[in-house]
Amino acid sequence: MARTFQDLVLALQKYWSKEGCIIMQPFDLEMGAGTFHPATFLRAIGPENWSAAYVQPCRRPTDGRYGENPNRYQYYYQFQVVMKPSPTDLQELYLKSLKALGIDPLIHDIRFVEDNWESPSLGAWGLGWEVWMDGMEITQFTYFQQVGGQECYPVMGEITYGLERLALYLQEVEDFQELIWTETPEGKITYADVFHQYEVEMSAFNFDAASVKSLNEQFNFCETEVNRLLSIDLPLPAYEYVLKASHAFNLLDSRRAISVTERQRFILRVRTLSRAVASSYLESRRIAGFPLAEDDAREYVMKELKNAK
Amino acid sequence: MRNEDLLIEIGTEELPPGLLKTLITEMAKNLGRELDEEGFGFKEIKLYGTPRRLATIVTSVSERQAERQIERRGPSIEVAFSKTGQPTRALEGFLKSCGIADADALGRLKSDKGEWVVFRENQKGKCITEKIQGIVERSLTRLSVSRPMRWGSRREEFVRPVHWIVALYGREVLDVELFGCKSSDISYGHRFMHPEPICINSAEEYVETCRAAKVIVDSGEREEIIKGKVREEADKLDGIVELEEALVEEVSGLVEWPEVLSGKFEERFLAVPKEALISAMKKHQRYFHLRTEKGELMNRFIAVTNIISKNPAVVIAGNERVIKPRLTDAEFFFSKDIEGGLEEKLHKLEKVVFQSEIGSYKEKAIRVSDVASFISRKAGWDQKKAARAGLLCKADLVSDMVEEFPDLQGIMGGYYAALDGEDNEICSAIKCHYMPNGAGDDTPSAGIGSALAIADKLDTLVSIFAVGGAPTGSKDPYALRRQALGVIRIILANKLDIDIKECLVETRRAILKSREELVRYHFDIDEVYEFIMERLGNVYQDAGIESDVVKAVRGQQGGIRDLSEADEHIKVIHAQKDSVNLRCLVALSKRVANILSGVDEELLPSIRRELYEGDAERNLDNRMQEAEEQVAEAGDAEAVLEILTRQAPVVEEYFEKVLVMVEEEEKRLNRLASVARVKKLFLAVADFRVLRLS
Repeated sequence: MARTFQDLVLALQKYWSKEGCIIMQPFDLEMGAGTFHPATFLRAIGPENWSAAYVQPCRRPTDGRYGENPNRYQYYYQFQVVMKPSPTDLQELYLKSLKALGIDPLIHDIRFVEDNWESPSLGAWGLGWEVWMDGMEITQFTYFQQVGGQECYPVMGEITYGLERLALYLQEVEDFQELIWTETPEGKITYADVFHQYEVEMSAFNFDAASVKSLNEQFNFCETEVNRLLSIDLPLPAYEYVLKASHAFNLLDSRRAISVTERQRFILRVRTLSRAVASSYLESRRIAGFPLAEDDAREYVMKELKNAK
Repeated sequence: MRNEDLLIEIGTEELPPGLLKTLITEMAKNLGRELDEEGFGFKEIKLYGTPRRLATIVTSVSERQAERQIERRGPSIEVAFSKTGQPTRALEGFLKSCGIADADALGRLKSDKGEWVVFRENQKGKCITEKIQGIVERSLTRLSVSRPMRWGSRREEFVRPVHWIVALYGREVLDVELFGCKSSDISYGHRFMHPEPICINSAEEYVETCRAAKVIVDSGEREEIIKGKVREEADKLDGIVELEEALVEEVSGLVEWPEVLSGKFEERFLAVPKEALISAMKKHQRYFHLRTEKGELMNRFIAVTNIISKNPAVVIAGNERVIKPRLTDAEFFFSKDIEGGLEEKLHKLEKVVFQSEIGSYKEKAIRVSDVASFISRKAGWDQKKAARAGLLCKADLVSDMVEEFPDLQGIMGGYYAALDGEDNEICSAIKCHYMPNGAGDDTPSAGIGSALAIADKLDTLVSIFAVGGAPTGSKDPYALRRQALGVIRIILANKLDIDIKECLVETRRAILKSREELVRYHFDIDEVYEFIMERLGNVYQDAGIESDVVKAVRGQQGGIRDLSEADEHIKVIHAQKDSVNLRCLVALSKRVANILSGVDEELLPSIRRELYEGDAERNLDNRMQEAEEQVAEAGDAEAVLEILTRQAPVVEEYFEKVLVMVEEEEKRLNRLASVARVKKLFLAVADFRVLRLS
């Protein structure tokens, strides 16, 4: 039983490592969800196999509540698992991971409730569920169908655990603040000890202090950079600037500096960038010969790409 | 011949609950159709399905197809035979493909396009074992799934990943292979309570074998169980529960084995508007809410779960933990929203786009206010209150509550208006101005509420049509069909006496006034008018009234302006459709129209009595005058129709005795004018000619 927040992370890493996922570390740029990590977004593109798991801190500036809402924070953790091609028993693997955390499915009411996922700014969508435990959403489960405007084949399966929410259940507390991060010889460290001041200050930053002017400039600069970097065939650095642009947009949004119509336009701009990166990345992998792909899938995609030309 | 029951079960990952019923029905329908087309006889089709399986049982399916004649068309005669009558290479090729040597065995097929050789053969029926693969495959690929998916490394698409297929004919497994699954007699029970495989011996044992494995495969039965258990739980709590069908169906689509439990939340949350609490419970959590006998919301909820939990208290505590932050949010938003009044929110509305080309919701509110006031003046309601309600009706769109619970738009506005001390009538008008929301929903009652509701919908219709948002095919992004239907339903339900065309003109005026640059758009209110009128067909179709009756009344002089009056006409004509009187009117209308065909009625001179030549002409004149006066004074549509039918004998007599198309122009025109007068009298009610009589 994962009794602390720290144990929860360790248990999930151990479990998925055993199931063949490489354990990666968080990406060191701000992002709204684990899906933005190159280990998901880029690896979902093209025919190559890929299985990975990692923790990713997520920033959603508009969700800031100064640490006062029991389960809504502007900075929180996701545990992300991706497997490509999605194995037949992915649901089973997921349910076993819950058992590994000490959750008994004969006590709890666990259900897969339809919830299809779409990210307009990533040009991506997939079908799947939110997993409910006793009525609470603890996980998002998705079969990617399209990413960056590219068809996903083979399909990547994505499992995203909301770590804090899951921990509420495991520790039987009501509020993120009360979560035990870990127990040290000196005593208990709570989530609040680690993050409370950060939530308060970041909420103030997101809503009132972030510089609208410089964020706008940043956004424009990032947009130019993506295009410049793509023009010299550097999709990976270009992608990092997509992430930066996306975060600048999120901050502008939380500063309420974007009107409804402008908002749509910003999303479209980010989508255009991520699509361009996706297609450039696919091309770079094609040139490399899709080294991580199964033969069948490689041949199929190579043929499709040839036909498209 | 051998007849056995056929069972097909497709095991899947969790299917979308909203689609489940359609999928279950369509799979059964498709299987039935495929069997039928392939010539396999059967008796009955039974449908089953849960979140993790779709199943169909077809009883007494014949083992072999009926014997049937197949016909293959070969080359045309010119191509098949040389000029000397010798078989050509083309014909030899065809013979070979048919497996015969002799050209004499072929038949001929003649049509107006030419003549061909044909090969006819009685084909012995094939066995179900040979045909089942195609039958199942086609049945599944033809399910209407708007967003199918792929998974793993497979190219096929289906609504969700497929894990197993059961295909049984009697006790025999039929070979089917789809989505990488080979059929067998092995199915699976409840995901947690019976994860082991289960063996299905035959279709007959299907339902009970699954039940033993904690799966209720009949969705109707699941719904009944849910209703029963929810009611029982409600009784225990001394509460009254409303078992909304849509919610029962959705919840049933989320469980294989329904269990029920109840939880509570803190009483203080009851201070939040009840619609918000209900929405949080129903929309987010799929809970049933409870009321006291007095109709007040209770701080209780009933949840349907998919497990006989070893420790139900844990599940209850978990559910209570989920609902709390949701209600906390609702409470927080409500208290934040009421800090500033609706007026204050009004200026924020400027930033909320209604439609990018048309403008903001603030502008829309001003227009709706104008038009609602206009309608109220016409209908004799309080114009000032209508204008006020219109101005405030969209302000709740910028409230946190509506952002969180979008389905509470209007309802929250009503609450906020009341807290601001607005007049009661204004509050309830704001509250109900989005109604009716869908087919089953109530309409606002007569008064400024319905004026507001109509004004809002007309504004959307006229403005969106102008920027090219009119529905095309199945696409109707602005739900304009629903808006148009809403307008009709509000008018009819309250028997409102308003002129729809006049309202459209007023709507256009208000739109053009609201923004200067809008003059560059063409606000075609005739198009919108026609669009609304086309919806009438749907309204009456549901009431069992045929489209020709609606069409006839729509054809009345100048088109329908007063929907309530038209409604009466439609109902009366429908009721009397096959009566002798009405037949007579139809015949006369046709005759009148024939005589007037090619005549521009506008240009006819006024009737001059001095030109009359006999009693028939004078009689008609007298009776028409009488009829026109009577119609003007008639109390209802039935009376009007009665007056019209009463004119039949005199009109008939007229046609019998008077020759209209005489040489002499002056007389001819005078007589045509008399006939036009009859036409006008009839046409004021309906264009009877389009009625299809049986």
